[in-house]
Amino acid sequence: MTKNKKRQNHHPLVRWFIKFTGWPVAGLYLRRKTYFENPGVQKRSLKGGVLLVSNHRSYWDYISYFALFLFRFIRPVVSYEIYHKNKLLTFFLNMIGAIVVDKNPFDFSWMEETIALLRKGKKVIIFPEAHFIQEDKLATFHSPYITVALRAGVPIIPLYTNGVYGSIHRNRVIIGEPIYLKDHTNQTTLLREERERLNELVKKKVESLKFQMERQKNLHWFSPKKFFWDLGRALVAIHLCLIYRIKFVTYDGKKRYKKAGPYLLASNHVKFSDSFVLITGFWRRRMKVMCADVVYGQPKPKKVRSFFLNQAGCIKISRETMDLKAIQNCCDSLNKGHVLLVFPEGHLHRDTELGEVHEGTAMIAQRAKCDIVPSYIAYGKHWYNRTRIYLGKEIPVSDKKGMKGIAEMTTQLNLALAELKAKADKEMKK
Amino acid sequence: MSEKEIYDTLLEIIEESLDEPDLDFSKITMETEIFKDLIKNSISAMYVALAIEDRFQVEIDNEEIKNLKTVGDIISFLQAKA
Repeated sequence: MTKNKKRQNHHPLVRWFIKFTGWPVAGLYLRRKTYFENPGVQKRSLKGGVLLVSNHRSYWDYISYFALFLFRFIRPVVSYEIYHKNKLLTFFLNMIGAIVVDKNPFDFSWMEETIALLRKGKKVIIFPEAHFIQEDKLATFHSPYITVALRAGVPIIPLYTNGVYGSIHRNRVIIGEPIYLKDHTNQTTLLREERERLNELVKKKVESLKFQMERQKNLHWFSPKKFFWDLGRALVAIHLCLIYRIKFVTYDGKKRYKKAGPYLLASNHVKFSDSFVLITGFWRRRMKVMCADVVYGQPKPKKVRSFFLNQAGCIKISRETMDLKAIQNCCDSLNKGHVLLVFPEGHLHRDTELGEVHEGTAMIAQRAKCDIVPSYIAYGKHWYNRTRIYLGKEIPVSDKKGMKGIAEMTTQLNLALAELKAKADKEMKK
Repeated sequence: MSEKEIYDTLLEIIEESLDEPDLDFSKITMETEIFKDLIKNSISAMYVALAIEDRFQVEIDNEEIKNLKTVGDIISFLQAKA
C-alpha cells in the first residue's frame, strides 16, 4: 500500500521570496565553492530539463543544491521517511517542489512525475545512492534514474559534493559535463544489463569528479599555505628572467604556453640550472621538481641543502632502490593540480646527444592520468643569447594498460624530444 | 583473504602489468623470486609493487619492499597487513 504523499503547493511568490532571501544566507553559512569539470566551456546556466545526479552526504545537500543556482529551482527526489523527518524539512522540501519516493518497490509513480516535470523543462536532482554515505567512497547507485532520463529525453548532469557543511572548511561542489545517454546507447527500452552499464558509466563520472575537484582546489592563485613557496618562486623568477631571457617556441607557434591542470613537463638535462630555467619560464604555475637523492648530498643528505630543496618543491627520489614513496609523492602532487618537472634521461647529459629516456616518466603519467609535455632547453652560444624552451605537443595517457602503455608513451616521448632537439639545432645554425 | 586468493590475485596483477606473453605462469611457485626471476626491469618491478598496493589497499614502505623477495614473502606480508 502506498503512503499518503499529498503535498502542499506554495504560491510562486512565496517560493521565490524564500529563494532570494535564503540564497545569500545559505551561501554565507556553507561558504560553497563551485567548480566545473571543464571551466572554459561550461556555464552555470541550465537550459531545458536536466536530471542532476549527485552523491548524498546529508540533509544539507538539499540546501546546498537549493542555493547552487540563483534563478533555478532544483527539485530533489526524496524518500518518504526523509520528507516526514520534521516539519521544517517538510516545509522546505515542499517549497522547493520535492518529489517523494515511497521505497515500496512497486510504486513507480515518482518516475512518471519526474519524467513529466523534466519534459516541462524543470530541473530535478536525484541521489542514486538512496541514503547518506559519509565515506569518501561512493555506494552502489540504483539505476531507475537512467530510465527516467532516457524516457524524458534529457541529459544527465553529474555532480559531486564534498559534504562539508557549517565548519571552517568550505562546502565544495563540482558540476560535470552533461551526459547524453542517446550517445551511449541505441536502445529506447532498456534491458537490465544495459541500464546497469549506463548506471556504472554515470557512477564512474561522479567518482572522477571528486578527483577533478581535488585537483582544481589547489589551483587557486593565492593560498596562505603556499605563500612562502610562491614568494620564493616569484623572487627566483624575477632575477633569473633577466639572466636567461627565456623565449618559448611552442609546437603551434604561440608565444605563450597555456595549459591548465596538472601535467608532467619532461625536459632534457644539460645543466644543473635547467630546473631554474623551467621554474622561471613557467613561473605562473606551482611546479614540483623530481630530484635525485644525490643532489641532497652523499652519503647522507645535508640538512640545510635538504631544507632549501624541499622548500623549493623538490621531490627526492632514490636511484638505487625501488622508491615507491617518491612515486606516490609525485602522483599526489599531480593530483593536487601542480606541474611536475622531470628529467626523463635520469642524469645530466652535457654532450650534444640526448640520453635514453627512462620509463619512469610514463609510469607516473599513467598512474596520475596526466599528459606529458615534452620540452627541450636550448641555451645560447653566448651569454647575451636568449635561452629557448621548445615545447612539443602533449603526449596523452595511453589506452593500453600496464607496461604496454608505458612503453608506448616512452617511445612517443623519445621521438618528441628528438624532434624538438632537431628543431632547436636547425634554428641555432641559422 | 586466503592464501589461494592472494596467490591468484598476484598472478592476475603480474599478467595485467607485464608485457610478456611468453611468461609461463605454471612455473610460478611460492619460492619464485618475483622481482628477480619474473621481472627483469626495475620499472616493471615498481609498477607491479604499486599495483599490489592498489589492489590490496596496503602501503608498502621502501624498507619493507627490500624484504619481499619470493611469492611466499609477499603473501605472508599481505596476510599480516590485512
